[in-house]
Amino acid sequence: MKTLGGKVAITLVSIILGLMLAVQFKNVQNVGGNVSLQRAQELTTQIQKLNQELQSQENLIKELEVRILEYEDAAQDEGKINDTMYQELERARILAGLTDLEGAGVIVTVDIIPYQDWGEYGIVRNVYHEDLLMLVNELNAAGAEALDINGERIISTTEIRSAGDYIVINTNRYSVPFEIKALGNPDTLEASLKLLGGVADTLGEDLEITIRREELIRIPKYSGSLQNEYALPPQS
Amino acid sequence: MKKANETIWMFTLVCVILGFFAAQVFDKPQAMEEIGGVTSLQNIENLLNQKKTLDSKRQELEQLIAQQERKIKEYENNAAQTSTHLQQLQKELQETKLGAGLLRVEGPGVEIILNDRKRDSFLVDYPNMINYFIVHDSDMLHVINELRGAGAEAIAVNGTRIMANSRISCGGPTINVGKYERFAPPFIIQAIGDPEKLMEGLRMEDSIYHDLLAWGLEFQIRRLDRIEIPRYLGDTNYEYARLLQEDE
Repeated sequence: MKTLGGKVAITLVSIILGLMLAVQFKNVQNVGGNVSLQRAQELTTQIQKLNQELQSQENLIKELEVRILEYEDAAQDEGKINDTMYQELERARILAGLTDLEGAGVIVTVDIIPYQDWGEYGIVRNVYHEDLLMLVNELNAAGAEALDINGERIISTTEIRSAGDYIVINTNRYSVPFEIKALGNPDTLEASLKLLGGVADTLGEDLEITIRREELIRIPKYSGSLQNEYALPPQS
Repeated sequence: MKKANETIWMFTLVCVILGFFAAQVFDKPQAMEEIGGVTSLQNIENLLNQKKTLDSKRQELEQLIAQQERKIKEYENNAAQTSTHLQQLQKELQETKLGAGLLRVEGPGVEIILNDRKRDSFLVDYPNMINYFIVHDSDMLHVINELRGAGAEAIAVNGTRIMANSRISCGGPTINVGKYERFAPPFIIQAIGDPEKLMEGLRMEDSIYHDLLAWGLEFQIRRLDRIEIPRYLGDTNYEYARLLQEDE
Protein backbone atom coordinates (compact mmCIF):
# COMPACT_ATOMS: atom_id res chain seq x y z
CA MET A 1 0.00 0.00 0.00
CA LYS A 2 2.75 2.29 1.00
CA THR A 3 4.81 1.49 -2.10
CA LEU A 4 1.78 1.94 -4.33
CA GLY A 5 1.23 5.43 -2.94
CA GLY A 6 4.86 6.20 -3.57
CA LYS A 7 4.64 4.95 -7.15
CA VAL A 8 1.61 7.09 -7.86
CA ALA A 9 3.32 10.11 -6.45
CA ILE A 10 6.45 9.55 -8.52
CA THR A 11 4.39 9.00 -11.65
CA LEU A 12 2.53 12.24 -11.02
CA VAL A 13 5.71 14.19 -10.40
CA SER A 14 7.34 12.67 -13.49
CA ILE A 15 4.43 13.72 -15.65
CA ILE A 16 4.66 17.29 -14.38
CA LEU A 17 8.41 17.27 -14.85
CA GLY A 18 8.02 16.00 -18.40
CA LEU A 19 5.47 18.66 -19.18
CA MET A 20 7.69 21.38 -17.83
CA LEU A 21 10.64 20.08 -19.81
CA ALA A 22 8.55 20.08 -22.97
CA VAL A 23 7.29 23.61 -22.35
CA GLN A 24 10.79 24.82 -21.63
CA PHE A 25 12.27 23.34 -24.80
CA LYS A 26 9.42 24.59 -26.90
CA ASN A 27 9.88 28.03 -25.48
CA VAL A 28 13.56 27.98 -26.27
CA GLN A 29 12.91 26.74 -29.79
CA ASN A 30 10.33 29.40 -30.44
CA VAL A 31 12.55 32.35 -29.74
CA GLY A 32 15.76 30.63 -30.78
CA GLY A 33 17.44 31.54 -27.55
CA ASN A 34 17.59 34.77 -25.65
CA VAL A 35 20.20 37.45 -26.16
CA SER A 36 20.75 40.65 -24.30
CA LEU A 37 18.89 43.60 -25.70
CA GLN A 38 22.02 45.71 -25.45
CA ARG A 39 23.63 43.81 -28.30
CA ALA A 40 20.57 44.39 -30.46
CA GLN A 41 20.60 48.10 -29.67
CA GLU A 42 24.27 48.34 -30.53
CA LEU A 43 23.61 46.66 -33.87
CA THR A 44 20.63 48.91 -34.54
CA THR A 45 22.73 52.04 -34.03
CA GLN A 46 25.42 50.65 -36.29
CA ILE A 47 22.83 50.01 -38.96
CA GLN A 48 21.45 53.51 -38.59
CA LYS A 49 24.93 54.97 -38.98
CA LEU A 50 25.63 52.80 -42.01
CA ASN A 51 22.39 54.00 -43.56
CA GLN A 52 23.40 57.60 -42.99
CA GLU A 53 26.80 56.92 -44.47
CA LEU A 54 25.29 55.25 -47.52
CA GLN A 55 23.01 58.27 -47.93
CA SER A 56 25.94 60.65 -47.91
CA GLN A 57 27.88 58.43 -50.29
CA GLU A 58 24.95 58.42 -52.64
CA ASN A 59 24.85 62.21 -52.43
CA LEU A 60 28.54 62.31 -53.26
CA ILE A 61 28.00 60.01 -56.22
CA LYS A 62 25.22 62.23 -57.54
CA GLU A 63 27.50 65.22 -57.13
CA LEU A 64 30.25 63.50 -59.08
CA GLU A 65 27.76 62.43 -61.73
CA VAL A 66 26.78 66.05 -62.27
CA ARG A 67 30.48 66.91 -62.63
CA ILE A 68 30.98 64.16 -65.18
CA LEU A 69 27.93 65.26 -67.17
CA GLU A 70 29.20 68.81 -67.17
CA TYR A 71 32.56 67.70 -68.48
CA GLU A 72 30.91 65.55 -71.15
CA ASP A 73 28.71 68.47 -72.07
CA ALA A 74 31.62 70.84 -72.28
CA ALA A 75 33.49 68.41 -74.54
CA GLN A 76 35.72 70.60 -76.63
CA ASP A 77 34.35 73.94 -75.45
CA GLU A 78 37.23 75.46 -73.58
CA GLY A 79 35.11 78.15 -71.95
CA LYS A 80 32.70 75.61 -70.49
CA ILE A 81 35.46 73.35 -69.25
CA ASN A 82 36.99 76.36 -67.61
CA ASP A 83 33.73 77.11 -65.78
CA THR A 84 33.33 73.56 -64.61
CA MET A 85 36.83 73.32 -63.29
CA TYR A 86 36.53 76.66 -61.63
CA GLN A 87 33.38 75.60 -59.79
CA GLU A 88 35.10 72.45 -58.62
CA LEU A 89 38.04 74.48 -57.44
CA GLU A 90 35.73 76.73 -55.47
CA ARG A 91 34.13 73.79 -53.67
CA ALA A 92 37.50 72.29 -52.83
CA ARG A 93 38.70 75.65 -51.53
CA ILE A 94 35.69 75.95 -49.23
CA LEU A 95 36.29 72.46 -47.88
CA ALA A 96 40.00 73.08 -47.39
CA GLY A 97 39.29 76.23 -45.40
CA LEU A 98 40.81 78.57 -47.99
CA THR A 99 37.82 80.91 -48.24
CA ASP A 100 36.13 83.35 -45.88
CA LEU A 101 32.72 82.06 -44.85
CA GLU A 102 29.67 83.55 -43.23
CA GLY A 103 26.42 82.27 -41.80
CA ALA A 104 24.48 81.56 -38.63
CA GLY A 105 26.14 79.99 -35.62
CA VAL A 106 27.42 80.61 -32.11
CA ILE A 107 30.24 82.59 -30.55
CA VAL A 108 31.81 81.08 -27.43
CA THR A 109 34.14 83.13 -25.26
CA VAL A 110 36.48 81.53 -22.75
CA ASP A 111 38.24 83.63 -20.13
CA ILE A 112 39.72 83.21 -16.67
CA ILE A 113 37.73 84.13 -13.58
CA PRO A 114 39.50 87.20 -12.20
CA TYR A 115 41.78 86.88 -9.21
CA GLN A 116 39.52 88.72 -6.77
CA ASP A 117 36.62 86.33 -7.35
CA TRP A 118 38.59 83.29 -6.18
CA GLY A 119 38.61 84.28 -2.51
CA GLU A 120 41.55 84.71 -0.22
CA TYR A 121 43.37 81.46 -0.95
CA GLY A 122 42.17 80.91 -4.45
CA ILE A 123 44.53 80.34 -7.34
CA VAL A 124 43.38 81.51 -10.73
CA ARG A 125 42.70 78.59 -13.07
CA ASN A 126 44.20 79.26 -16.47
CA VAL A 127 42.70 78.15 -19.77
CA TYR A 128 44.36 74.91 -20.91
CA HIS A 129 44.62 73.67 -24.45
CA GLU A 130 42.42 70.71 -23.45
CA ASP A 131 39.59 73.11 -22.74
CA LEU A 132 39.70 74.50 -26.26
CA LEU A 133 40.13 71.06 -27.80
CA MET A 134 37.08 69.83 -25.93
CA LEU A 135 34.96 72.83 -26.95
CA VAL A 136 35.95 72.50 -30.61
CA ASN A 137 35.25 68.78 -30.55
CA GLU A 138 31.87 69.34 -28.92
CA LEU A 139 30.93 71.92 -31.54
CA ASN A 140 32.02 69.50 -34.26
CA ALA A 141 29.87 66.78 -32.74
CA ALA A 142 26.95 69.20 -32.88
CA GLY A 143 27.49 69.65 -36.62
CA ALA A 144 29.66 72.75 -36.83
CA GLU A 145 30.66 73.35 -40.44
CA ALA A 146 33.49 75.82 -39.94
CA LEU A 147 35.29 77.12 -36.86
CA ASP A 148 37.90 79.60 -35.82
CA ILE A 149 39.63 80.46 -32.56
CA ASN A 150 40.78 84.07 -32.25
CA GLY A 151 40.73 84.31 -36.02
CA GLU A 152 42.68 81.09 -36.64
CA ARG A 153 40.61 78.94 -38.94
CA ILE A 154 40.45 75.32 -37.79
CA ILE A 155 41.46 73.06 -40.67
CA SER A 156 42.18 69.35 -40.72
CA THR A 157 45.81 69.84 -39.69
CA THR A 158 45.24 72.51 -37.03
CA GLU A 159 46.85 71.77 -33.68
CA ILE A 160 45.78 73.31 -30.38
CA ARG A 161 48.79 72.85 -28.12
CA SER A 162 50.03 74.47 -24.99
CA ALA A 163 53.46 76.08 -25.05
CA GLY A 164 54.27 77.65 -21.73
CA ASP A 165 51.78 80.38 -20.97
CA TYR A 166 50.46 80.39 -24.51
CA ILE A 167 48.32 78.16 -26.60
CA VAL A 168 49.60 77.52 -30.10
CA ILE A 169 47.03 77.33 -32.88
CA ASN A 170 48.21 76.93 -36.46
CA THR A 171 51.72 77.62 -35.14
CA ASN A 172 50.68 81.06 -33.85
CA ARG A 173 50.57 81.87 -30.13
CA TYR A 174 47.48 83.03 -28.30
CA SER A 175 46.44 83.68 -24.72
CA VAL A 176 43.21 84.58 -22.94
CA PRO A 177 40.57 85.63 -23.73
CA PHE A 178 39.67 83.10 -26.38
CA GLU A 179 36.80 83.49 -28.80
CA ILE A 180 35.57 80.47 -30.69
CA LYS A 181 33.23 81.08 -33.61
CA ALA A 182 31.31 78.21 -35.16
CA LEU A 183 29.01 78.11 -38.17
CA GLY A 184 26.13 75.66 -38.01
CA ASN A 185 22.65 75.28 -36.62
CA PRO A 186 22.68 77.77 -33.71
CA ASP A 187 20.07 75.80 -31.72
CA THR A 188 21.98 72.53 -31.91
CA LEU A 189 25.34 74.14 -31.25
CA GLU A 190 24.08 76.05 -28.23
CA ALA A 191 22.13 73.13 -26.82
CA SER A 192 25.02 70.68 -27.08
CA LEU A 193 27.32 72.98 -25.12
CA LYS A 194 24.70 73.85 -22.52
CA LEU A 195 23.72 70.24 -21.97
CA LEU A 196 23.25 69.45 -18.28
CA GLY A 197 26.68 68.33 -17.14
CA GLY A 198 28.07 69.18 -20.57
CA VAL A 199 31.21 71.05 -21.47
CA ALA A 200 29.92 74.51 -20.53
CA ASP A 201 28.85 73.19 -17.12
CA THR A 202 32.14 71.45 -16.37
CA LEU A 203 34.40 74.22 -17.64
CA GLY A 204 32.04 76.88 -16.28
CA GLU A 205 32.96 75.91 -12.74
CA ASP A 206 36.48 77.27 -13.14
CA LEU A 207 36.30 79.52 -16.17
CA GLU A 208 34.18 82.32 -17.46
CA ILE A 209 32.28 80.94 -20.43
CA THR A 210 29.67 82.72 -22.49
CA ILE A 211 27.72 81.31 -25.40
CA ARG A 212 26.04 83.68 -27.81
CA ARG A 213 23.88 82.81 -30.80
CA GLU A 214 24.35 84.96 -33.87
CA GLU A 215 22.53 85.19 -37.15
CA LEU A 216 25.58 86.32 -39.07
CA ILE A 217 29.10 85.30 -38.18
CA ARG A 218 32.15 85.69 -40.35
CA ILE A 219 34.92 83.16 -40.27
CA PRO A 220 38.25 83.99 -41.87
CA LYS A 221 40.13 81.68 -44.19
CA TYR A 222 43.23 79.75 -43.21
CA SER A 223 46.11 82.14 -43.48
CA GLY A 224 48.93 79.63 -43.94
CA SER A 225 49.71 77.74 -47.10
CA LEU A 226 48.55 74.21 -47.81
CA GLN A 227 51.56 72.48 -49.26
CA ASN A 228 51.77 68.76 -48.69
CA GLU A 229 55.30 67.50 -48.61
CA TYR A 230 54.71 63.92 -47.55
CA ALA A 231 51.06 63.06 -48.16
CA LEU A 232 50.75 62.89 -51.95
CA PRO A 233 48.39 61.21 -54.39
CA PRO A 234 49.56 57.71 -55.36
CA GLN A 235 51.70 57.74 -58.49
CA SER A 236 49.99 55.28 -60.79
CA MET B 1 11.55 -0.38 5.31
CA LYS B 2 14.52 -0.39 2.99
CA LYS B 3 12.24 -0.08 -0.03
CA ALA B 4 10.37 2.88 1.45
CA ASN B 5 13.66 4.63 2.09
CA GLU B 6 14.66 4.20 -1.53
CA THR B 7 11.36 5.67 -2.66
CA ILE B 8 11.84 8.69 -0.48
CA TRP B 9 15.32 9.28 -1.93
CA MET B 10 14.02 9.00 -5.46
CA PHE B 11 11.17 11.31 -4.63
CA THR B 12 13.59 13.83 -3.21
CA LEU B 13 15.78 13.67 -6.31
CA VAL B 14 12.83 14.21 -8.63
CA CYS B 15 11.61 17.08 -6.49
CA VAL B 16 15.02 18.73 -6.64
CA ILE B 17 15.08 18.50 -10.42
CA LEU B 18 11.53 19.75 -10.60
CA GLY B 19 12.38 22.65 -8.31
CA PHE B 20 15.36 23.51 -10.44
CA PHE B 21 13.26 23.80 -13.59
CA ALA B 22 10.52 25.66 -11.78
CA ALA B 23 13.06 28.14 -10.49
CA GLN B 24 14.45 28.62 -13.99
CA VAL B 25 11.06 29.32 -15.42
CA PHE B 26 10.23 31.84 -12.73
CA ASP B 27 13.69 33.36 -12.77
CA LYS B 28 13.41 34.65 -16.31
CA PRO B 29 11.58 37.95 -15.69
CA GLN B 30 14.19 38.90 -13.15
CA ALA B 31 17.03 38.26 -15.54
CA MET B 32 15.29 40.46 -18.04
CA GLU B 33 15.39 43.38 -15.64
CA GLU B 34 19.05 42.86 -14.92
CA ILE B 35 20.43 43.01 -18.44
CA GLY B 36 17.98 45.52 -19.77
CA GLY B 37 15.70 43.10 -21.52
CA VAL B 38 16.26 40.16 -23.77
CA THR B 39 15.64 39.68 -27.43
CA SER B 40 15.64 36.64 -29.65
CA LEU B 41 18.65 35.27 -31.43
CA GLN B 42 16.62 35.44 -34.59
CA ASN B 43 16.30 39.19 -34.24
CA ILE B 44 20.07 39.51 -33.83
CA GLU B 45 20.60 37.35 -36.88
CA ASN B 46 18.31 39.60 -38.90
CA LEU B 47 20.22 42.66 -37.76
CA LEU B 48 23.55 41.04 -38.58
CA ASN B 49 22.32 40.17 -42.04
CA GLN B 50 21.09 43.71 -42.57
CA LYS B 51 24.46 45.05 -41.52
CA LYS B 52 26.26 42.68 -43.86
CA THR B 53 24.16 43.83 -46.80
CA LEU B 54 24.78 47.47 -45.97
CA ASP B 55 28.50 46.85 -45.56
CA SER B 56 28.79 45.26 -48.97
CA LYS B 57 26.74 48.07 -50.48
CA ARG B 58 29.07 50.58 -48.94
CA GLN B 59 32.03 48.87 -50.55
CA GLU B 60 30.26 48.92 -53.88
CA LEU B 61 29.59 52.64 -53.57
CA GLU B 62 33.19 53.29 -52.58
CA GLN B 63 34.34 51.59 -55.74
CA LEU B 64 31.86 53.57 -57.77
CA ILE B 65 33.15 56.80 -56.25
CA ALA B 66 36.74 55.85 -57.06
CA GLN B 67 35.69 55.06 -60.62
CA GLN B 68 33.93 58.40 -61.04
CA GLU B 69 36.93 60.23 -59.67
CA ARG B 70 39.23 58.58 -62.18
CA LYS B 71 36.87 59.68 -64.93
CA ILE B 72 36.83 63.26 -63.70
CA LYS B 73 40.59 63.32 -63.41
CA GLU B 74 40.86 62.07 -66.96
CA TYR B 75 38.63 64.91 -68.18
CA GLU B 76 40.70 67.40 -66.25
CA ASN B 77 43.94 66.02 -67.59
CA ASN B 78 42.59 66.14 -71.14
CA ALA B 79 41.44 69.70 -70.60
CA ALA B 80 44.84 70.65 -69.23
CA GLN B 81 46.37 69.72 -72.56
CA THR B 82 44.29 72.21 -74.52
CA SER B 83 45.68 75.42 -73.02
CA THR B 84 48.22 76.64 -70.51
CA HIS B 85 45.47 78.42 -68.61
CA LEU B 86 43.55 75.20 -68.07
CA GLN B 87 46.76 73.44 -67.23
CA GLN B 88 47.35 75.92 -64.42
CA LEU B 89 43.76 75.60 -63.24
CA GLN B 90 44.07 71.83 -63.18
CA LYS B 91 47.23 72.01 -61.12
CA GLU B 92 45.62 74.31 -58.60
CA LEU B 93 42.55 72.11 -58.46
CA GLN B 94 44.63 69.04 -57.64
CA GLU B 95 46.57 70.86 -54.97
CA THR B 96 43.45 72.24 -53.34
CA LYS B 97 41.72 68.87 -53.41
CA LEU B 98 44.80 67.42 -51.79
CA GLY B 99 44.60 69.96 -48.98
CA ALA B 100 40.87 69.49 -48.60
CA GLY B 101 41.18 65.76 -48.03
CA LEU B 102 39.37 64.90 -51.25
CA LEU B 103 42.16 62.74 -52.63
CA ARG B 104 43.56 59.41 -51.59
CA VAL B 105 47.12 59.96 -50.41
CA GLU B 106 50.17 57.92 -49.59
CA GLY B 107 53.47 58.68 -47.98
CA PRO B 108 55.74 57.97 -45.03
CA GLY B 109 54.51 58.35 -41.48
CA VAL B 110 53.58 56.55 -38.31
CA GLU B 111 50.95 54.03 -37.34
CA ILE B 112 49.67 53.92 -33.78
CA ILE B 113 47.79 51.09 -32.16
CA LEU B 114 45.78 52.17 -29.12
CA ASN B 115 44.16 49.55 -26.94
CA ASP B 116 42.75 49.05 -23.45
CA ARG B 117 44.96 47.61 -20.73
CA LYS B 118 45.26 43.84 -20.91
CA ARG B 119 43.29 41.95 -18.28
CA ASP B 120 45.94 41.38 -15.64
CA SER B 121 45.95 40.78 -11.89
CA PHE B 122 46.22 44.50 -11.14
CA LEU B 123 43.11 45.24 -13.16
CA VAL B 124 41.25 42.41 -11.48
CA ASP B 125 42.23 43.74 -8.04
CA TYR B 126 40.92 47.24 -8.78
CA PRO B 127 37.69 46.71 -10.69
CA ASN B 128 36.31 50.13 -9.77
CA MET B 129 39.28 51.86 -11.41
CA ILE B 130 38.46 50.36 -14.80
CA ASN B 131 37.90 53.86 -16.20
CA TYR B 132 41.61 54.56 -16.03
CA PHE B 133 42.48 51.49 -18.05
CA ILE B 134 40.42 51.99 -21.17
CA VAL B 135 40.93 54.23 -24.19
CA HIS B 136 38.62 57.23 -24.01
CA ASP B 137 37.45 59.59 -26.72
CA SER B 138 39.52 62.36 -25.11
CA ASP B 139 42.67 60.18 -25.32
CA MET B 140 42.16 59.69 -29.03
CA LEU B 141 41.47 63.40 -29.47
CA HIS B 142 44.76 64.21 -27.73
CA VAL B 143 46.72 61.72 -29.80
CA ILE B 144 45.32 63.25 -32.99
CA ASN B 145 46.09 66.74 -31.71
CA GLU B 146 49.64 65.64 -30.89
CA LEU B 147 50.05 64.33 -34.44
CA ARG B 148 48.71 67.57 -35.88
CA GLY B 149 51.15 69.50 -33.73
CA ALA B 150 53.98 67.37 -35.10
CA GLY B 151 53.09 68.26 -38.67
CA ALA B 152 50.84 65.42 -39.79
CA GLU B 153 49.47 66.14 -43.26
CA ALA B 154 46.78 63.46 -43.34
CA ILE B 155 45.32 61.42 -40.48
CA ALA B 156 42.98 58.43 -40.46
CA VAL B 157 41.42 56.45 -37.61
CA ASN B 158 40.62 52.85 -38.52
CA GLY B 159 40.60 53.91 -42.16
CA THR B 160 38.39 56.98 -41.77
CA ARG B 161 39.93 60.25 -42.93
CA ILE B 162 39.96 62.90 -40.21
CA MET B 163 38.76 66.30 -41.41
CA ALA B 164 38.66 69.69 -39.71
CA ASN B 165 35.18 69.05 -38.35
CA SER B 166 35.45 65.33 -37.58
CA ARG B 167 34.24 64.77 -34.07
CA ILE B 168 35.72 62.18 -31.74
CA SER B 169 33.13 61.34 -29.12
CA CYS B 170 32.16 58.70 -26.64
CA GLY B 171 29.68 56.07 -27.80
CA GLY B 172 29.47 53.88 -24.71
CA PRO B 173 31.85 50.98 -25.23
CA THR B 174 32.83 52.43 -28.60
CA ILE B 175 34.20 55.73 -29.93
CA ASN B 176 32.38 57.72 -32.59
CA VAL B 177 34.71 59.07 -35.25
CA GLY B 178 33.43 61.65 -37.70
CA LYS B 179 29.79 61.72 -38.66
CA TYR B 180 29.26 58.06 -39.42
CA GLU B 181 31.81 55.72 -37.95
CA ARG B 182 31.82 53.94 -34.63
CA PHE B 183 34.79 51.84 -33.56
CA ALA B 184 35.69 49.50 -30.73
CA PRO B 185 39.29 49.03 -29.62
CA PRO B 186 41.93 48.44 -30.85
CA PHE B 187 42.13 51.77 -32.63
CA ILE B 188 44.59 52.21 -35.46
CA ILE B 189 45.60 55.81 -36.03
CA GLN B 190 47.64 56.51 -39.14
CA ALA B 191 49.37 59.77 -39.92
CA ILE B 192 51.39 60.82 -42.95
CA GLY B 193 54.15 63.33 -42.39
CA ASP B 194 57.83 63.51 -41.47
CA PRO B 195 58.18 60.24 -39.47
CA GLU B 196 61.02 61.67 -37.39
CA LYS B 197 58.99 64.68 -36.32
CA LEU B 198 55.86 62.64 -35.70
CA MET B 199 57.76 60.25 -33.40
CA GLU B 200 59.35 63.16 -31.62
CA GLY B 201 56.05 64.94 -31.15
CA LEU B 202 54.36 61.86 -29.75
CA ARG B 203 57.15 61.29 -27.24
CA MET B 204 57.44 64.87 -26.08
CA GLU B 205 57.53 65.23 -22.32
CA ASP B 206 53.99 66.51 -21.93
CA SER B 207 52.54 64.15 -24.53
CA ILE B 208 49.57 61.92 -23.79
CA TYR B 209 51.81 59.00 -24.77
CA HIS B 210 53.45 58.89 -21.33
CA ASP B 211 50.11 59.23 -19.52
CA LEU B 212 48.56 56.31 -21.31
CA LEU B 213 51.65 54.13 -20.93
CA ALA B 214 51.70 54.89 -17.21
CA TRP B 215 48.20 53.50 -16.87
CA GLY B 216 49.26 50.38 -18.70
CA LEU B 217 47.31 51.01 -21.88
CA GLU B 218 48.64 49.66 -25.12
CA PHE B 219 50.26 52.42 -27.19
CA GLN B 220 52.39 51.08 -30.03
CA ILE B 221 54.05 53.40 -32.50
CA ARG B 222 55.46 52.11 -35.76
CA ARG B 223 57.36 54.07 -38.38
CA LEU B 224 56.28 53.17 -41.86
CA ASP B 225 57.76 54.15 -45.20
CA ARG B 226 54.47 53.98 -46.95
CA ILE B 227 51.01 54.52 -45.52
CA GLU B 228 47.88 54.82 -47.57
CA ILE B 229 45.03 57.02 -46.34
CA PRO B 230 41.68 57.15 -48.14
CA ARG B 231 39.88 60.30 -49.17
CA TYR B 232 37.05 61.77 -47.17
CA LEU B 233 33.92 59.89 -48.12
CA GLY B 234 31.18 62.01 -46.65
CA ASP B 235 28.98 64.92 -47.45
CA THR B 236 30.76 67.96 -48.77
CA ASN B 237 27.77 70.23 -48.66
CA TYR B 238 27.45 73.01 -46.14
CA GLU B 239 23.99 73.97 -44.99
CA TYR B 240 24.79 76.99 -42.87
CA ALA B 241 28.18 78.21 -44.02
CA ARG B 242 28.31 80.12 -47.30
CA LEU B 243 30.90 82.13 -49.12
CA LEU B 244 31.37 85.56 -47.66
CA GLN B 245 29.55 88.12 -49.78
CA GLU B 246 31.81 91.11 -50.18
CA ASP B 247 29.77 94.24 -49.68
CA GLU B 248 30.64 97.08 -51.96
